[in-house]
Amino acid sequence: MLKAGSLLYAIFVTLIVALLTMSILWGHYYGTIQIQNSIKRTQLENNIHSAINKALVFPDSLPYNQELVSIPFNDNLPVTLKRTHWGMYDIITGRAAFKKDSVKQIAFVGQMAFDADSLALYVSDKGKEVYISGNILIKGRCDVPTGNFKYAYIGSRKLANKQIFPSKMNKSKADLPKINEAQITYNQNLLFTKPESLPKHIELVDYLEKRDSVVVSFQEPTLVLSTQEAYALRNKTLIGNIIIISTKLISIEPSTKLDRVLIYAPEIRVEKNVKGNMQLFASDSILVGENCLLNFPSCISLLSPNVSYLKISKGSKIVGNVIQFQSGTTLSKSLVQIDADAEVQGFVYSNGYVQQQGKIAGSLYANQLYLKTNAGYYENHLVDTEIDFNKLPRAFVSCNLFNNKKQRVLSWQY
Amino acid sequence: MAVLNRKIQASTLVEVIVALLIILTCFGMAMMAIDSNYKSSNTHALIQAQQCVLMERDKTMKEKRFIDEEISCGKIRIVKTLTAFPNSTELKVLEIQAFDANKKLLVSQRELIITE
Repeated sequence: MLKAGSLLYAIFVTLIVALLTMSILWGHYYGTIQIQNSIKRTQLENNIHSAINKALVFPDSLPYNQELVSIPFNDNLPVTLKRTHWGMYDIITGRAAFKKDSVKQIAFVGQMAFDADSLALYVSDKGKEVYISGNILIKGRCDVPTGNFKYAYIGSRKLANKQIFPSKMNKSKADLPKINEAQITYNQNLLFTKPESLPKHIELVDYLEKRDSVVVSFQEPTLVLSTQEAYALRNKTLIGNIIIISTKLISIEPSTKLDRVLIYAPEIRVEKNVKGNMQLFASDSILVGENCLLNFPSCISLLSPNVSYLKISKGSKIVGNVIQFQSGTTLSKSLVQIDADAEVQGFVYSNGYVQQQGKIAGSLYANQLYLKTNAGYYENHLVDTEIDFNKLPRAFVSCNLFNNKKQRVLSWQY
Repeated sequence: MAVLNRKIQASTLVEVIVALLIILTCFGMAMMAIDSNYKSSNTHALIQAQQCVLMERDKTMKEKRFIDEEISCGKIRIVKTLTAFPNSTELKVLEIQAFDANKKLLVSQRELIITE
């Protein structure tokens, strides 16, 4: 009879080889599944992008706060979309799932600023012509009363250096282009909301007393912090999906870092040297101190039924929009003051008065211009100013300021 | 030096040959199984094709190359087509397909893009 001593070893080695082979095959199978999942995931992301792009081109197909299912292609991969407000911008959330895998993407949506009109200056026709003096640079279309500028002496100053390159001069209408009132109403409602009536709000002072930094992803529910006391944001870092609502003054100090945060308060004071990215909504006044930098996409809005005041001090730069809108009137007495050496990259819109002495890389829409000098007050006068629509980047996306403008994604949020 | 007190039983030549045959057969089968699995799943080509498709998509969007194209990406052939979307001049359907040397479709991706 054949002895089987070596055969036992052979069977043992065979078992090990079989195990190794199985593990290699399993690893390979798992790798293949992962690659197929990755391809499927990319397809899900593409479907979300497609559904969002479709909603941007056909905005009426996606009303606010309604979940709608969109099927961009006939591939049985539906996308659930929802549009919500985010200050003066919109957020579109897209969700798609395949088997156990799901993808969620969040887009900040605004309006394409660049268009064929290239409008630099719009001053409503209230029966007063626009006078220019000093060093003036205007590039882009100008819609002004009478369709032309007049030259003026301001004190002893006359027109020193005129560089006006209007692509077109038009006679303006009696009123400003119609603002997107749905967006204004939404923010005005938040501005005048009593904090205690908000469903899920946390007391700001208590919350921030225990924390120096708060980061909330846009994948998570919005963190609403409210207060009924005046509050100074000092040595705090607030990032992401956060809304602050106050019934008193909120001041922002340079030691505070804000990123994509919304603030609603009657008065907002941005102290000197503040840097960040924020949307500020006030009903009474907003003062932006010297040398502040409010990065894209920032927005400063004065929304009130009463007269209000907004000031951007010298050396400060706002990349976004500056809006003053007094509801219930066609000519507000509110004032937007842009100091010399201050800069706005984007749109400035006011249905009141604008004292423009800084630089605007974009467009200025004003019911009336205003100028205060040592010698007196002047209406519809522009002195030593620069408004250059061509300096606005072609891909610039502004907030949803007007109706019927093309919408675009300005950033993806995570 | 230790003294060996008992006899060690060695395997016979036949046993060793049978054992080697079993091991070799097992190895051979394992290699065949792995090889056939790799060939059938085409994993490497899939990865490459996916990368090529993503690169082409990014390039199209970045450079605004909204035209039909055929591009080589290593051994992979990329075919890019843009078709109109109903009721819109802004929207286009961007389809990028990746084929191997045997013209077998590896990856295909579609996306609605805004071209204006």
